[in-house]
Amino acid sequence: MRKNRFIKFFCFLGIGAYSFLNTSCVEKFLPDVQEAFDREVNFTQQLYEPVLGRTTLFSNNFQSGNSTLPLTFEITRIVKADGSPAPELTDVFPVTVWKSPYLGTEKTLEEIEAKRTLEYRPLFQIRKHSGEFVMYSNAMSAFVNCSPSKGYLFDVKVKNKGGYKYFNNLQLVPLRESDFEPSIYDSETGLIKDKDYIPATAARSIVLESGSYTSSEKIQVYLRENKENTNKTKTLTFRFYNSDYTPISPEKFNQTKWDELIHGFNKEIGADYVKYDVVYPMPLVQVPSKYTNSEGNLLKLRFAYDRITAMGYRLDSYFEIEFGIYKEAHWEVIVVFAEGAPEFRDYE
Amino acid sequence: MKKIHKYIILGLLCLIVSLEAFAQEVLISGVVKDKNDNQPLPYVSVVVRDKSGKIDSRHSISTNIDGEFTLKVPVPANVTFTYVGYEPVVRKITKEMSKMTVLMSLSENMLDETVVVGYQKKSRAAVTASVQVVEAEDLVNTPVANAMELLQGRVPGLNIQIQNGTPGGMPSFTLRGISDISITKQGEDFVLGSSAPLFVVDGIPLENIDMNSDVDASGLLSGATVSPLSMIPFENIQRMEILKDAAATSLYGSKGAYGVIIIETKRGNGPPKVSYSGNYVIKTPPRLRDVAIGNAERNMRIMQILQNDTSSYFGHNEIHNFPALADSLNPYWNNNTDWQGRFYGVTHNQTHNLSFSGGTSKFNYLINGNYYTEKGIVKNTDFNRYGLKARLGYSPNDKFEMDVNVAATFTLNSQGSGNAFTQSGVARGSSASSLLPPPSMYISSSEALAAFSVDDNNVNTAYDASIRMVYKLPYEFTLDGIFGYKYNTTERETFTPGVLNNNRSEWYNLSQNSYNLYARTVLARSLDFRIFRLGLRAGVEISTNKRSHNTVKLVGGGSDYIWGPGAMHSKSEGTTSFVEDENTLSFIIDPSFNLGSIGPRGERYIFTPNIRPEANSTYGKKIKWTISPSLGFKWNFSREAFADNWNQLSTGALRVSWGRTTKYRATRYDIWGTYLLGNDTYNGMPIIPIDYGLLPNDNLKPVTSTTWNLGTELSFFNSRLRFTGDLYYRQTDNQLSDIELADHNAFEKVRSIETSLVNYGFEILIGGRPLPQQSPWTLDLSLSLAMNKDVIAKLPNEARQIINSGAKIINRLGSNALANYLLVNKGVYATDEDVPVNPATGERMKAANNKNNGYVYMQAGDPIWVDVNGDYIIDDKDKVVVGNSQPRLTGGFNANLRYKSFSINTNFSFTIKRDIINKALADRFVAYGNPLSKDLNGSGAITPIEAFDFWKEDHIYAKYPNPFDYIRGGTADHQVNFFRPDQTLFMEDGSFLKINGVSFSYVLPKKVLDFLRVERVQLNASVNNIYTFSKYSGVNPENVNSLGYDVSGGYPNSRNYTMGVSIDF
Repeated sequence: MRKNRFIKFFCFLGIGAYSFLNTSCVEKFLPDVQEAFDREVNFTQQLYEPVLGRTTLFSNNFQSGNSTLPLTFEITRIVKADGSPAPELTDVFPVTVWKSPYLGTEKTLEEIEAKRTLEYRPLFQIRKHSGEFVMYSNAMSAFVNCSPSKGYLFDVKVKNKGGYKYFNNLQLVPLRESDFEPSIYDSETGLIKDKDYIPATAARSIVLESGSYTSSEKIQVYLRENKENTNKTKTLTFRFYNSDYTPISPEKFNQTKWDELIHGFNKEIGADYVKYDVVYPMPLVQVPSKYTNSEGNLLKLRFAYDRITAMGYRLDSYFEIEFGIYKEAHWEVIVVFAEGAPEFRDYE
Repeated sequence: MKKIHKYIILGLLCLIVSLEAFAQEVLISGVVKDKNDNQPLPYVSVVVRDKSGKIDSRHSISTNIDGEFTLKVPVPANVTFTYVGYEPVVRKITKEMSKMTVLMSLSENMLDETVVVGYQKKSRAAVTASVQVVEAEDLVNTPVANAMELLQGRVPGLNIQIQNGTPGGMPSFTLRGISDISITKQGEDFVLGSSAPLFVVDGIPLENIDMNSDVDASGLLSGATVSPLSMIPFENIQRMEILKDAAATSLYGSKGAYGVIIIETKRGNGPPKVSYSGNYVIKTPPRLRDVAIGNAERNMRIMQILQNDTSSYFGHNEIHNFPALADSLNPYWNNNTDWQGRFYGVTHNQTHNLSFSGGTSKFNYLINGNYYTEKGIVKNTDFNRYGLKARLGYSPNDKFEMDVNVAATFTLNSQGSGNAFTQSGVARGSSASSLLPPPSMYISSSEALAAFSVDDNNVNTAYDASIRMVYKLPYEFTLDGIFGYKYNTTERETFTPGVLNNNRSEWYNLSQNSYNLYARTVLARSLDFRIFRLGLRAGVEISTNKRSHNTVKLVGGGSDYIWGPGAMHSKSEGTTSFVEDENTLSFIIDPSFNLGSIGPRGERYIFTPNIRPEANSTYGKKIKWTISPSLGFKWNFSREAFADNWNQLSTGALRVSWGRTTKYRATRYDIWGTYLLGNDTYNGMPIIPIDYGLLPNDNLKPVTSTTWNLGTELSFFNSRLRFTGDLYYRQTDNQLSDIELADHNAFEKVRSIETSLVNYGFEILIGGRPLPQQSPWTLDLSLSLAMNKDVIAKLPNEARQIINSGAKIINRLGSNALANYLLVNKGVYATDEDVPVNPATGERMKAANNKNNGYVYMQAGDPIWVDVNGDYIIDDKDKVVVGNSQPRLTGGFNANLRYKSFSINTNFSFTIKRDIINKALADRFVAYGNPLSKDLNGSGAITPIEAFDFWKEDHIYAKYPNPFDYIRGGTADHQVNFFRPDQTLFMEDGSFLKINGVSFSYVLPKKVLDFLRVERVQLNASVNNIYTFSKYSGVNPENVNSLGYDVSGGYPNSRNYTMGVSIDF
């Protein structure tokens, strides 16, 4: 009997101790672990102007302050600027997305294509946890309101477990597609702005048959769609002309690394052209590589040749052009030496 | 019914036995000895009781002066041995016995133990607070600079981590979890603010143990001073007492907020004697890391460059431009030097302690001279102490008592090229390339050895004097006064040669002096009134601290050998602080109500309220007075009538307490602001502008800590099993933190007190003495265990989280105080195709570079860091809260075994559940990041990493990233450090079980002593820091900084082997 009381007493003590320790007892008086939601969170960009016809990603556009990351983002409403519904941005479309990394070392077109896939997505999306906006390349001015119209208005809800905030009436004003960059067209009117060609970006020691040097300004690049070619595999063709549109054989550019010029396949060097099978857009990804400029947003091609000059030494000459193409088509790159043909012959 | 049968049988047996008893008498003889020291006990009464329980005077006797007895007793008989202060022993005699040995040990009743709380001695039964006493003789007998090290694992709730082996340094203390969550940057390292408790030595509180600017959480002093605790020789310590809850600590007012540790030094006792104790200590460094030396290093680098440079051609070119790699036949580059051996080494040390002591309770004296020297296992570091101390006690009658302490201590130490935290110079030097020639080849051998040329001299002198007088007045009034004075000076001189300081030698001098004056007078009276005992103590306490310091720095002297100003481009600067003083005036009002105190049962209900108003001169007018109240209640239930039949239970008590204490942490500059005394002018006129760095805030309040404590003290089976358990809840409010002000304000920041931290947990101490009383063996076991949980209850500006991006620590409301903030690592990308791709842009996953101004695309061999926010960029936004940098469960285990004159003391301690970051391992991989580094002196050594599972082209499924890719990976701005320490890859479980120490001692037998003509000789041997059991892959899970980072430059803990002797003449 006594022993029982003794045991009971200690059981009671033990239970008391346990219940004190039991976290709920103490933690009831302590604040809950909650995610922090900074009231100062904000989009650093209120107006989004993607160029149609190509996939655009807006990143680094959200200031999360002292909030617990990740936050969750959601577009709660998207309407045309006049308030009418915008099914073209809320419905899903098949869009091309990457599923494995493009490395630049792929051997065939199929290998590259296998890295991309079609997925059904709305044309304008917000990334769930980063707040970045994506406009896919399938969005075309044919059915999407673009500048100079007022575009669209949309609301975003940002939340985490600690709180939420609405951002109303952010603006989406897409710009009319331009098939290539640098564009020669005005994005609002679609008319040619100034020059109808893209000048080369560099020209070194290119001596013309006239004996004078030419500048990069006078090497004009025209990008033309070959609409007659209906082949399914898209191509890119290079043609060279002097000022009177006499073709210059690509063989003349004897120092050009044709195999490393672009990431193309089935190279075909004809009498007046060089043709590759390629995939668009070009560049495929905006990553600096041997095919692109240092930023990675445009192709950078170098055409080079050498000859022995009157002074008796070998002169290395080259010119460079930079451009990007966003529309899938059979494109031709036409290079015109506006001041006459370069001198390719050795001095004798 | 069964029981009745039992009693009948028992009764019958007794009858038979007693019948027989009348039959004959036998002769017994033997000796009675003290079990502790094996000395014979004189005048022990040996009695036989008759049936009625009366003493049978015919058969009773006392032992003679040699403890021997001879006695005729009837058989069978129970012979009882009793002696004042000792546990009675009963022996059953059935036949004639001679040469019996009866061992008696001091009686231990938990409730009768004496403890000191609030400068007042009390019996444990009357103390309502959670207090633990540690006797010095129970500690492992090994010489240490700082006796606190020996408490590791002994006291539940006192978490001691010996995180640093700096000679004379101090381990980190936290009592019941951390109290301060502020983090400061010390060089490359981040350290936690100090949570060190208050130390009270012989009644005088040590003021400057944590002058917040000087000491960090690891208890180390960044300035020149030596830890005041290292000034106390361990031989002098009698006992230590740890007061944990506010019912005890609030009696110490503003100083006791983080807990109190009381240190009591020895007094003279017994006949006059001269004692000497000396130790010889060998300190050995831990196992040094393996290093690839000579050709192994060269080949490794060449292989790495050729395989990983942008092209083979370019790689060859780089090698050819780098003579150390290319010119292998040049004797300067053709060496195999292991630099670590130059810096770390075995050292031999000595300590000597000579004391002259003696006396009785009326007058006693102890004069102690101490010499302690500790040469660090890192060369050029040491700690030496010379101390002289006298303690005199005088008490001519029971009315008057006087105690005088006088001490002078002189320490001399050197921290070499590092500071108290890290040895950065050594870390740099010991990672020099093995291709460099060894130091013997040339005189001005190399830059790598420059760490030795640092001349650091730190002289610290302390004079201490205190006097205490107690006078018992009529009507049970007691007047108790103490007066102490302490004067401390420090001179630190450091010379850094040019090679270590951009070719400009640096000479630095700091001199500092401080004095503390402390006085306390208390008048106490206790009154018995029927069943109540009422008590009241009231008094005044004054303390004054003054200190001043100045520094002089001269950069760019003439040469390393001509120390003086005047050379071209030399620059001198200095600082000085005016005499700063801080005065505290406190009143002590400490009533107590004990109920049931009269009568044989003793005190049963004790109620002790206490209040202590205190005025301090540091804080502004608004907060001049602070009040530290506390309430404690204790119920000694084992003294109740109903407990009389609980035979197994010896003592039992329950206690509950609440209390609040404060601590002054802010400086007067935080409150009043500062003026800039510089060269500022306005319109050509000199002006003294306000310092806009800090906005003065006169609303700052002292740190307040509020504690609830529920505890129990139990002992069973004649105190052979003891149990102490405590549950506590402590809230530390008004912690200081900085609030950065928006840049349109004039001021940059303001100090805030809006941080609160809660600690709660439990502590258990179980002690046992499993062997029977009469066994010549004595075994003392004890286990301590403490669990602590810390939770942030408030953050400044109502923030829910604050990220310290430098220290990689996050403070979150409602969560543990110091959580790691890391990138999550999920392995290594086996191939390029495995790298996730941004579906919209086709870009591969990329990582922000070290400067955060560009990106590096991930590829095969790179770590898989989890992209938490899904933007295909790895940066600080992808960090998550993972792991806790503070230990959650700590404790220890001790076993002391004694057999006659042999004794063995052992101590184990453990820390369970602590997440530590193996930065040392990360650094080993990072060392591969720059094979072309021309700085061979600073970063050359590469350690073999074959043992690790890292990515290679022929081994693509690995744990660690590719260390050889030095083009993309590395520590330069444009690279990504794939081995950044703030990732889960390097977070490991830092739990450990450490064999702290084992000591053996043997007292020579009397015959030998007589031959040697000495009183007593004890031989000691001990080993310290023996082994650590841990899953941690690094060297030592304890040797990490206060935030759990294993920093390569840390001072390693040595293993010590000691041989010692102590002789009483």
